[in-house]
Amino acid sequence: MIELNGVAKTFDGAIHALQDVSFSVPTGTVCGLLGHNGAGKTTAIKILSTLLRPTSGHAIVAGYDVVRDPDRVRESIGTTGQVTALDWELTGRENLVLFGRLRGMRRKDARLRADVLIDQFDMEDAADRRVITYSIGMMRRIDIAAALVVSPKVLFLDEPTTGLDPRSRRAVWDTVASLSAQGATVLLTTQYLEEADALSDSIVVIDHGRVIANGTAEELKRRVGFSYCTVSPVNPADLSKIWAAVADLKDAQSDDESNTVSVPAPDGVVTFAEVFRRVDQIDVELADISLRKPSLDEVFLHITGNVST
Amino acid sequence: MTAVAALTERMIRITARDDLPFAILATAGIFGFFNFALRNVIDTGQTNYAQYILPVIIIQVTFLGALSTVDRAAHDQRSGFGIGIRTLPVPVVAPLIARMLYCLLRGVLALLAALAVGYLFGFRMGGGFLYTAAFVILVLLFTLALSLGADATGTGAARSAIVRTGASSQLLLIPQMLLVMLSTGMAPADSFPDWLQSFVRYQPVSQVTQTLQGFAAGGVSVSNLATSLAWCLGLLVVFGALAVRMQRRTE
Amino acid sequence: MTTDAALRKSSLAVESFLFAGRLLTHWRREPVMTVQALLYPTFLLIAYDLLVGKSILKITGRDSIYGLVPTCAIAGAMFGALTASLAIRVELDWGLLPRLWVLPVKRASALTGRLVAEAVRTLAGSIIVTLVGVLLGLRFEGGWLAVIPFILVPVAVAVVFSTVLIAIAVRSKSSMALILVGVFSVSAVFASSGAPPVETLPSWARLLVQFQPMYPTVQYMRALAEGGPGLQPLLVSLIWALALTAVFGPLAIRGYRAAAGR
Repeated sequence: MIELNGVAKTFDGAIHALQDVSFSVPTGTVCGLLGHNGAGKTTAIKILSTLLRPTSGHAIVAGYDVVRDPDRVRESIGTTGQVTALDWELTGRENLVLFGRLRGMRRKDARLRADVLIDQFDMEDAADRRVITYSIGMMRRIDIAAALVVSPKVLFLDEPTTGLDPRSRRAVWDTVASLSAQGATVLLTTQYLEEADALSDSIVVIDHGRVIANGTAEELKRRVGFSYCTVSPVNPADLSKIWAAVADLKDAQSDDESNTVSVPAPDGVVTFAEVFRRVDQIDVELADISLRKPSLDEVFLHITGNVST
Repeated sequence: MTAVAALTERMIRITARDDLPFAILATAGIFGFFNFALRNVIDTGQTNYAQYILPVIIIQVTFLGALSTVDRAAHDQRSGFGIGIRTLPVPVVAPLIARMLYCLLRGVLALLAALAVGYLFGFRMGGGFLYTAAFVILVLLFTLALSLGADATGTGAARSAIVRTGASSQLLLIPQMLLVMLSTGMAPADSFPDWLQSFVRYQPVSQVTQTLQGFAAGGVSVSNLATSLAWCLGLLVVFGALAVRMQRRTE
Repeated sequence: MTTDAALRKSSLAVESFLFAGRLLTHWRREPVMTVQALLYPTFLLIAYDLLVGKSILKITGRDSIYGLVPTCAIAGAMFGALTASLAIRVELDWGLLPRLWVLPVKRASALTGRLVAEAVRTLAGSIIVTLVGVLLGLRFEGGWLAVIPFILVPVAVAVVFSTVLIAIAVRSKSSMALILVGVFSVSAVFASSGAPPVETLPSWARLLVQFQPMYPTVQYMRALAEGGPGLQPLLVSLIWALALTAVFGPLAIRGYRAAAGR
């Protein structure tokens, strides 16, 4: 349903926001576009939603070329941006009705649809207040609702949960899941591996405008591995002692700056237990010892071989 | 006092790019505009029209400056920075003083611009040093009085929707325009329709511009001077007290 | 979550009205600004007439009101358009523009919608100013039917002027350019007002005044009221209007697209 082929975008002849990006998202699946700020995620979304034209390459959305048939692409997509793009002077309901009517619904149908969405997103109390009075969580909800007014075949969600509290974030995740269950194709961008992990059927990792990894969440995690076991002493001088205790474990690393020793834990808790046992024996006061999931940096580390900026 | 100095400096730095050049350009522009538009229309007898209208132009620019002060005071009151200042060991009225110093600075710049442009078109200070000094002092008194009033409005009503959206300064444009245009500063009283002439003669803007015209010429009537001073000092005291009270108010 | 509602096809007229309606709702909810925009030209007219009316009558023997009403109506139209265009910058920061751009609407509809809203607001202001003008002594020597084109001229000015302003607003980072254009244009209107009468200006200034687009526009409105020959100023005004629209219209649309992509 979404297909990019060698898409490149250069701004002002010098800034290469995207270089040779190719991937596809099958119909009815959720794809997570993962990358740091400035990696090119938003540029990719802008091209796919016809806001920008690619400098080279092709992109097909819902069967239409974004350059040749932008109108038909627009008829099939719904978008939300990093900045909630709503008319702040209008109420939530009025925003939904406006977007519905702009998409071609008759006023009555738009009103009914707005009612349905307001109910679904649990916004009864706030619906008739001006958006400018909303909290960020509420704005995002209306923002996503506005994208769903005419059930789009393809949905672009640009960092939909940035800045949200955990409860609202959960709510967005649930919505995305149900959308996908109903057959929509979703491309969402995010900085958070766990979000991509929780929501996506496939993940595309972008860095400096290039696709550096592409696969299901499982595949990606297997590539990166595993969890890490990290140990931090209370007294930074003891770091070397800890290091001495675990240095022989595979791929263990010591970092003076963050005052941690990290050991990849392919066997999860088993590795953790081993590390704990060794550290316990050397009688060092620990500030922290934990088993944690790989961070985005570690994903990049493994995939690119260098720390991304 | 260093707090005041720091705040004033900050204000100047923030506004130096837009507001100060605007004040200077607006003064020159408004003067040029009215001079060209009306000099062959309004009969000012012996006096060169540029000589005649310079004071009222200065007053008009002062009004416009006061309007921007409303917004600035309101913004200071509500902005993160403004709120944060109130938790520091800084005298409560320091921001107010800083704003007033800024207004005076801007007033001086506008005055200089007006005098410069006026000079090009034939305005001359005919009264000698003392009268010129009196001219400048009266202008600054008036500027300060208006600015204090504007500050009180902005600070006092900072939360109201009308001030928050900038609508208040827009609203005040109309009465201010009427006061300026229907004054003897723009044209002698008898060029106005008869029924309007007493209003025109006695309204405060006319009084003040008449005094300024007198200072520029080197002679001013005592009763007129007294009225103008009464207005300026009266407004200064009343608005000053109000502004301080508003600034001191905690919620 | 499928909707069974039938979707109408994209239509410029309907979409323009939707966009216009959105703006009119904004203005309705900020009554102070709107009322002020409607009343400002009226008070300007009154004040200016009081200031120069007697003098102009003495100098030219004609009632200044015939020049002042068109001037204030047009100046009011421009002032309103300027304020509205400043709001575009705010909307650009909201990020609403890209969102609207990505909808399946005709590309020009956001622009035409804004122009429709401007026209509606200017019409209201124009009617009010004309009414006050009549109260102050304006008469339609050419017959009362002339009121209709009289009221519509400021509306046309607002539409063309807005197009120019929008083309600038979507491209420039600061409001400086807009304010400058606004100041020049309003000055040009007042220069065309007949107060001062063109005859009293030095010859270089007279040329400058007579060859800018505001002059024939004001002259046309005067002709409508005084019953004089209006065909020539009308034609010149129309040429100016068409030329400006032809140049700035596409610039505005292209600017919208560029701004949406940012």
